[in-house]
Amino acid sequence: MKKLISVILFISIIVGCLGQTGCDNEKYPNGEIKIFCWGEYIADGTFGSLDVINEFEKETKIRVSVFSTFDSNEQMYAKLKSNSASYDIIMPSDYMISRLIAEDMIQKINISEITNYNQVMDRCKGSVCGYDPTDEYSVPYSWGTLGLVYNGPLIEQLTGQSANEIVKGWDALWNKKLAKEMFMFINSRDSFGIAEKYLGYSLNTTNVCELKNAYNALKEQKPLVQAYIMDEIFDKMENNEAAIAPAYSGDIITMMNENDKLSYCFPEQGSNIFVDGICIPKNAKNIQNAHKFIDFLCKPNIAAANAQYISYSTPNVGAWEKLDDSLKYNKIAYPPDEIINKCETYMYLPPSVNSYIESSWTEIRN
Amino acid sequence: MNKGSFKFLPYGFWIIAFTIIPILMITWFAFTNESRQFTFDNILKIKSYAGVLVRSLVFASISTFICLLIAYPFAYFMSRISENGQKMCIILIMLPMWTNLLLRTYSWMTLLENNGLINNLLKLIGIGPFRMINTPCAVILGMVYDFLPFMILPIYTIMTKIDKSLIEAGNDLGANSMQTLRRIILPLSIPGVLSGVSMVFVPAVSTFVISRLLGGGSNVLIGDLIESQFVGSAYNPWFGSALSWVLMVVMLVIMAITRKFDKNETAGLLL
Repeated sequence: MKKLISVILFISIIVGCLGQTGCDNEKYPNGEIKIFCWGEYIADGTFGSLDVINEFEKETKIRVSVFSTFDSNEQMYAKLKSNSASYDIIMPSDYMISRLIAEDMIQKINISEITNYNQVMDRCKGSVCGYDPTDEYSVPYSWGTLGLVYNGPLIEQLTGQSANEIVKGWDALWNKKLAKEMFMFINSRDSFGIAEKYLGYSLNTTNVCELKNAYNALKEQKPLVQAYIMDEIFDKMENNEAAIAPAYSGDIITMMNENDKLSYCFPEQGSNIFVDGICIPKNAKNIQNAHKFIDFLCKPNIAAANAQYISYSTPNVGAWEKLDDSLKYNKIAYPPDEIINKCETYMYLPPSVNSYIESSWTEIRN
Repeated sequence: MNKGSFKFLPYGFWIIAFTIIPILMITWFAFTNESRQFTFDNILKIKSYAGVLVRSLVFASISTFICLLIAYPFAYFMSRISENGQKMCIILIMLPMWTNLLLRTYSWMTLLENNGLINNLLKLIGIGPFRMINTPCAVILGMVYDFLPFMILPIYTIMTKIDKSLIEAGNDLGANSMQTLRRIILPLSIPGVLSGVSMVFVPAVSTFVISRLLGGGSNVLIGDLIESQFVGSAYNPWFGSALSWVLMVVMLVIMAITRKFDKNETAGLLL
């Protein structure tokens, strides 16, 4: 009896597999594509959004055989570097794009195949922001700026002053009246960036003296910080756990939708602007399909669906026009030029500076 | 080839593939650099992170000790009650372990927060709020909560295996219950205590998610440091391997000392 059951199971598995592949080849004659992108970064059909991957498969008859996600650039880099899997599409941020170019880990994109490339705003392109000087290695996918999110009523209660007076720039994160009522990022680069901007330096400084001053500022700030966190900022700020925290524009919009006590401030000292691009790794196997996927993501209606889903800003002009008015004219997502001009992108820092930042960051938090 | 060694084949394969080869790879990485040259730099670099290692050992020791304090009496009483009661207790201990560790830790975060459940309840009766989250105590609480079952179960198992006739003999010879506990049950339960201690201490020393969620990112533990070398912004697998390697050596030494201590101690107590 047992034997019979196992034989039946075995046959049905074989048949199942054959049927599957047969069916796949029929349904997807144009091969496959492997995608590696940020978590929750492509609309997936939830919350009334468009299921972009499904749409892509239907339109191009290419099967998305792998869809993996990462939650930091470094995690993606480690996976790519270890060569444990090959992908056709990756989505690194600006400074990681320059690093991947420098280390010869991504390949040139044939821009002429990206028919919707003319939709991409110049201000986000690698040549303008500096992360991809020739614009050949990446196509911008989304962008945003780093700002401050604060709880107005809580700040007034703590300081006795109006929140507008207290929160003007990064110095609010060094305000002793807000001791233990602030969060900071747990990652070294963002935290050093904030300290550098607070002191009036460039985000990408390699000057030893300036780095030392940023280190001292962060050390001085430590007793005031309630916690060093990352994605937990959402829940905690929505729960009134602290008065102020740094956050990226898309996240701030999400938080403000959840808790109406929260407000936004663009720091007067200037800030970081980031661009996440789409790239093709050097060891990609389905280069043709990767181009098709990039072109698909650049289509205004698809880009708009994604932008609506992730609430980060879209670099796509056609998509921006299609957005809901509340997002389209949102000053946080699409700030005026004078704010953008005060922003800097992260550049890839030399290894010595990187390791200095990293080791002193561990020491500060210790 | 005799039959005995044939049986060993699957285990041998398992150990070689998933224990020995990875340990060799960690060692290889720990003593080389990016250009594959032999170096001691990674190991020497750990000096500047000695504080993190010490903190991890201290936190893990404290939580192991607290676990032992809670688990020992509990296991003792559990082994004395009716069989159905014991089954019930085991289910109650195992139940939280069916939930993911990350989720369990996350829920402690929402319990301990300034506007969390505990502080809100305290506010209702007019005390607090207390600052509980983002403190070393919260990290230790998290470790104790997460690893307590690993202490209770081995101690309980060993206690149920103690020969009842030994206890009866003690009673017949006039030992009171305190003496029975100290002279019979305690020495015989030492092996369970030791495996409990190592089952709690080892994961506690290398944990990383608890310190991050409950410690507010400023109580860095060695596990956090290792994680940041592999998937974090520090990306340096060579240094990460060196950290793991040193941690392994430190734990081996600690375990060897406990084993030795165990042998002498048990022998001494029995004599």
